[in-house]
Amino acid sequence: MASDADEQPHPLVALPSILARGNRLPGPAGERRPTGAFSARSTRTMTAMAEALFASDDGPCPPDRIAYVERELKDLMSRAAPRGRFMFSLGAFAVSVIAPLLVWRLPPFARMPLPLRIEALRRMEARPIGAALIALRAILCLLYYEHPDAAREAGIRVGAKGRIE
Amino acid sequence: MTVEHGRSHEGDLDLDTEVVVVGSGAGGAVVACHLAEAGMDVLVLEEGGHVRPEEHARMRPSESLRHMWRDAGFTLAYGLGASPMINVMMGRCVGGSSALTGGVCFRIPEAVLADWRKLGLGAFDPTQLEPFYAEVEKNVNVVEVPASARSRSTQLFAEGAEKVGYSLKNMRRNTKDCVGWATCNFGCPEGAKMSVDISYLPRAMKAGARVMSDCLVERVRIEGGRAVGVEGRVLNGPNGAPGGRLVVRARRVVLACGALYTPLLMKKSGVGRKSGQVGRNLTLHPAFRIMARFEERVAGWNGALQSAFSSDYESDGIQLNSVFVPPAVLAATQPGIAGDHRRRASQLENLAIFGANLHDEGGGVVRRGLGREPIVTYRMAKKDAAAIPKALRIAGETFLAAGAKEIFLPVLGLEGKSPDEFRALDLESVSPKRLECTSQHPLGTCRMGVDASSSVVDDHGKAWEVDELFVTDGSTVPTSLGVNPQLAIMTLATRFAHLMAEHRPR
Repeated sequence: MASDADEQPHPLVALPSILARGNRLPGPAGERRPTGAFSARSTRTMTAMAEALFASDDGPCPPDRIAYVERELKDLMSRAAPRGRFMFSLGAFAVSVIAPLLVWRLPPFARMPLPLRIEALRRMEARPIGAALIALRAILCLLYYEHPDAAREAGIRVGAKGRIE
Repeated sequence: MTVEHGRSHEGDLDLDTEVVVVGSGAGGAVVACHLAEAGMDVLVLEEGGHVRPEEHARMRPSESLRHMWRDAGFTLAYGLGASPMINVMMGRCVGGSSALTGGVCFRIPEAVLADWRKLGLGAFDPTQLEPFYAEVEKNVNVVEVPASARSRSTQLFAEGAEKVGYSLKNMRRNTKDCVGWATCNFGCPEGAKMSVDISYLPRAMKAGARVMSDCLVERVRIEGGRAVGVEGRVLNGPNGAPGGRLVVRARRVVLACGALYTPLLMKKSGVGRKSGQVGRNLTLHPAFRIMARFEERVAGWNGALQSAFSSDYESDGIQLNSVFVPPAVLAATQPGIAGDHRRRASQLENLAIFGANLHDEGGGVVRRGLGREPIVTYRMAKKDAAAIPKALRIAGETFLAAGAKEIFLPVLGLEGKSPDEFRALDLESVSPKRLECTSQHPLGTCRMGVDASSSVVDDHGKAWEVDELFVTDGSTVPTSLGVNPQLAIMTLATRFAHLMAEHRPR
């Protein structure tokens, strides 16, 4: 049976009203689209990365969390300046092309089955080219662990008024 | 406080004022406040949006990045030679970076002021600066953080420091009734941080100043060698894109857009060609964090985000500062894939962190790029590169002395190290290029001086080349400070403002 705490919106994701979807604050100068500025291909690669990165020993990560990460990633990237987006796109391209080769498969990374993606990222991480993963991983982790369930699983205790205890 | 939102304004904006201040952060807000209280007609233009403190306080870290930080926190200084890439964090919101700091306030170290006086800046000695410090410290409520407010992470580091043979001192911060949520960089849920959007800007507005958000200034208008206003775009297009034309006629222009954007604006306006100094001499205080895993629960997010520091290694150019980050940000530092990563993430509570920053030499340059963004390059001096392994060694040994079981160094591709593995590491052979490095303190790109050929502004903050054009942000700082610059910027701005107020613009 769900407790009261489970039914409350998790404070880590409780959005103030001004940030309700469809009522976003303006992005950087020059931004014309709130989402979609990060290419579909880059987004696919990043989402496939997230599935591999956050899989557990018991199996894949729940799809709702991956959908959440994807949605938030698109919004975040739409607010980065073009050069920042380019750097992330370059990183995503490197993963898309190089990671499959490390497990003797052809690109793209996003089309590989999950176990192979996990192994490909492990091998990539262990090599100097793994530096390309750092920023991508950081941003995916930041978004993923803001999901209430992911936070709880990581043992993050949230108290009154959303204070981390 | 009622900020006028440019994005809510339809069409063009055409305004007249006596003084226009570009930027609403530590430098701009202080000047706006003093000039408004001196009876001048002041308009503050801010490129970013206005997020009220109570709204910011409820944001998740990634939302804060999106809505408050410039470029969603992705601005980079490209390392030249063996230098690392440095992530430069700045605010883009009403209140500027002051709304996003940990609140740390240091006076300018005496040794730094002595260097300034050697450069001919004779007015900058502690005695002459004292009244300005006192004024700022009162206005933003600078108080010492008691040792009782330290997080367990900082307590452990302090225990280790004592065993290693150095000590931590209490920091001072601009807070009121801080209860230690440790989320300063992403908004204070208690409204305890006295950033300029809470302290100076409301006072400025009470004195009659207008503050407008979502106004992108692209050029300073100069006629007959004198600044006569600014022009740009109102960000009232779809999704905050540039929309209407912005024209402000003013008799004085004050630039306070920070050390990366003030030089860019000056260059776009054709200022600084004679000296060639605009955009040069950038210092960053390259900063990095060392993490350690303990067997006990640390939960460093309980306590003041920043509370203690050590300047015992200042002679090596190293300052050690307490820091912490929210859990999601901490999780982002954890390596491993799938199960490996999840296991590490489940130990976040056991991690302690301490930071180090370098008192660097001016090795950076800000150049114009193709679009609105500057191109920032940074070449780390040999002295600074040599300080990195020492800082890593000191911090690592300190955590080990406190009982850490594993040390995580900010080196790309380096796994956590057991005590024996850490001690066996040849840190001197690690290239600075592999360092995970950040900066929150860009300074020096429109430096103040006594000679128009080697500086951009004089010791009143006035541009050498243009009358009635002033700069009052961190870009005027002539050398690296080695300490968090917030108080220094506000103090210099206060001094500039008092001098400006003595003469109304013609």
